[in-house]
Amino acid sequence: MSHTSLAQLSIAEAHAKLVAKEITVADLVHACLDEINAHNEALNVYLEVYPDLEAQIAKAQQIIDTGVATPLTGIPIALKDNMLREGYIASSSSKILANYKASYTATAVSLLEKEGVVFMGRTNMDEFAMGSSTENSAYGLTKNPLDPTLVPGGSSGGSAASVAMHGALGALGSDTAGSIRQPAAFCGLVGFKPTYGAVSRYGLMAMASSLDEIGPLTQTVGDAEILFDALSHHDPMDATTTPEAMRVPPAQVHKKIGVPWAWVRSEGVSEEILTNFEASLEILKKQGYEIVDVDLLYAKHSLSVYYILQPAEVSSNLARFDGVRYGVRKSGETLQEVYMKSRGEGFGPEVRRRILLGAYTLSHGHKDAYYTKATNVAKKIKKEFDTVFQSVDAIATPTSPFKAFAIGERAGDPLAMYISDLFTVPANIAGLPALSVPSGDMDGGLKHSIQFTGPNYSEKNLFMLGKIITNE
Amino acid sequence: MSQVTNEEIQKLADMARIHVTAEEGEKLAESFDSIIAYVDQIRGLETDDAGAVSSAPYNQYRNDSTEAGSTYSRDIILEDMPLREEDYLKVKKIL
Repeated sequence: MSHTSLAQLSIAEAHAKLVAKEITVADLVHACLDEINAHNEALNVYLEVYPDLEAQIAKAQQIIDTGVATPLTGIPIALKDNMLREGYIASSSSKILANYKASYTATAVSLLEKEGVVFMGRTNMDEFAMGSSTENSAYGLTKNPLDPTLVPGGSSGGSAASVAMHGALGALGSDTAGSIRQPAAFCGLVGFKPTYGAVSRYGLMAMASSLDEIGPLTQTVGDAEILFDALSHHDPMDATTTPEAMRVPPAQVHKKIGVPWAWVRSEGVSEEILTNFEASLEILKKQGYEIVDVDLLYAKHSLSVYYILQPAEVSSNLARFDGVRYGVRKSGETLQEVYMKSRGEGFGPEVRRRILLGAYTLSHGHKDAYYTKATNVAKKIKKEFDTVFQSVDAIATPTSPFKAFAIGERAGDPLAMYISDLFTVPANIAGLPALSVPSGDMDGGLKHSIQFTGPNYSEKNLFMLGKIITNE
Repeated sequence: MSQVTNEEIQKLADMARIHVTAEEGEKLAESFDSIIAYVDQIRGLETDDAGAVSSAPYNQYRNDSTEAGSTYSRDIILEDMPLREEDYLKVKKIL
């Protein structure tokens, strides 16, 4: 078997070969490295391949050789550049953190490290995870491995592209409005955003703390499940993680899937995507699911709520990047000038826009009209989902209203870019788990995708629905 | 007509400690208008009965001690400092 085919294995397949001693960890990692060496220069996916691969390989192989391997031991995984790994740069693809070395390791990273995962490197992203195309990186844009004239989606575009180009068997991303699921859809992968509170964000650079969640990007639903199971733990270092005893999945299975038809049909979703979406629903019907029409009168306004809450949280969270204790400090005559220059030159245009927008909607005279109103609409959205989930197991929509777009096509118009998250953002506003899976081939080598959003801790059910679509 | 003025943008930029040029301020004001026009769609929604939600956050406490589960590399923290003198962080004069 050639190296190329090893890099194309799923996590589950590679695990079987590793424990059967058909292949070594070194074979697998070097197969991924060959892909990186062949494609990374053209696609700009990895910002850095970690220099300690050989040490990681040796550690993983030893775990396998002593017979205590887990499904992730020796598996090459890529990390988004906003996750901390002690001793290595984590820049959130920003100039202001160009030289920032993590002084501790994120919980999500250390959980995988203990299982002997081999971290291949850190992947490109929209700066501080603000964007839907990975064009907002201080280190150049990333191209879609399925078609290099297109964007890979974002903000976890580098993580998606790393798996799509077989430079890793899976990747971690973060999802605040769709930043795992939309790039997964654009790159033909599975992407999963867990229930808010399922996975620790300790060591993930905070963007909008009430919405951020870490999750996997993989080739198969089964692989996403393996990574999620490894990551899903209560963490004393992140007080927003839910204790295991409180993680209660829905008691009842209805065998019903809700579709908000009025919303899906009113948003200019392309005919091609609608046709595939309807075909996916037919597959579910054949498995005995009833498809019912549901109204989401508040959830359809999630994107508006997001563009009030997210900038507000950003303006607060990103206040810590001041060039004083770490990061890049510019010189100036006064302390004020040092701040103004360090932050003005260190942050890119989109990040600057969001910080100022947050300052605007939080400022005196605007807070009630915007921030307070948005938090109340968010509560109504949560209640609306609670009601809908009394009679359906999950809600299905297309993942993205449109397919992967051309590089530059939406870069000049913020609203045209923001609309990418139309169907993915309600899950973040309501804190719900949501899974995007490939649902068939599209012209030009791309894939269609369908998204299932479920009640809190209904992950197992979402994975089951995903496997029906991917035929796993 | 622009609702948000360049002057307002400059004031926000000053509060947020971000240097913004006059030219960028104009562009930002324009984009603020279109974003605010979009998010304004929630203004008409009825939210008087929003109240509490079933998945409302709850508090988790820990002991007030340093026994917590993580360690930080002192060496790296020092190494990350943009300006230092021995083991001290150098900053601009504040007063």
